[in-house]
Amino acid sequence: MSDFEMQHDYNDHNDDQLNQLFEQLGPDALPAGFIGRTMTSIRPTIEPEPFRIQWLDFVPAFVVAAMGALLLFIWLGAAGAHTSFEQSFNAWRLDQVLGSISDVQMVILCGAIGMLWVIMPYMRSGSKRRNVWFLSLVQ
Amino acid sequence: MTAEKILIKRAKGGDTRAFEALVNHHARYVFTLTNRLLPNTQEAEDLAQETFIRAWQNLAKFRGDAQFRTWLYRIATNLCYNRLPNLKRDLAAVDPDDSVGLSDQTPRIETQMIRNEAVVELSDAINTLPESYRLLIVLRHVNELSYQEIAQVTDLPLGTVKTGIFRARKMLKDRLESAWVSK
Repeated sequence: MSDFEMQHDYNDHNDDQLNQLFEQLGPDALPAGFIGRTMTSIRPTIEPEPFRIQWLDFVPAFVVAAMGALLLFIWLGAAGAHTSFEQSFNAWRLDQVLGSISDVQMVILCGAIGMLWVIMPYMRSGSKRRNVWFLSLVQ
Repeated sequence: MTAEKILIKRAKGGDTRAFEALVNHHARYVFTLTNRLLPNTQEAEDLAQETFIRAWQNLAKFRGDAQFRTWLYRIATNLCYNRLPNLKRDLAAVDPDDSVGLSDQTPRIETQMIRNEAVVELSDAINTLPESYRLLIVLRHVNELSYQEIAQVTDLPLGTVKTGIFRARKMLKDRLESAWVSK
């Protein structure tokens, strides 16, 4: 019998049993936690999004600054009329400003400014990125 | 577009959940490949993990010409080549002359129940094969690649692959028969 015939004979008749065994064999079981460890190794390789400042990042600060200016204007007005530079400068003195509003008003205004400061960065819905720099100011 | 292609596309966009689904699907086969070649399970696990890490890092280079699994096995096989320097040399030394007569059909599924003991013996017999034959047998009969795909994965001529598998199967059969006769 030639090599060719021997090989055919081998394939056609004698391999069935071996093929059946291979069908039963299947892949090896994975070590416990393999997928989790693999993905943990992969995730840190993702580069963080580069830090960029957009004009939207400054919106909360603009709003807070505008509110502060408005409140200051009201307080200065309440502190009394002033016609000279010295009077205007004196009107900025804290004791005069604080003396013109009540404690309750002061607490409410400070609370409102604080809340805005914290909430505004979260109002940018749809953005994956938070105003990290902004939050770091209040944390 | 198949589900796998959708996952690959999403993974290329940086979606790690999509890539995790791909890892879930292919991990057992990649691990089997490395586990059958390397001397201990820890090394096999490390190499299988390295395969997926490299796949993730080079996912943009996967163009979809070949099947994703073939691409993964190629990465794993190259890592095995690096880890086992004699592996590729031994494979290349296989003489392709006596490769005639091998069919490329997937082995047919038999309903006949086969004893688990025989499967364990086959598994043990595979582990006693030379590294090069082990690689070919696992790619062909566990990971169920065609001869052409194995040639792509191992970077060997088709004739060498056929010959290697033929000899490996013959070796396995001889070892199993001698084990059964001795009982």
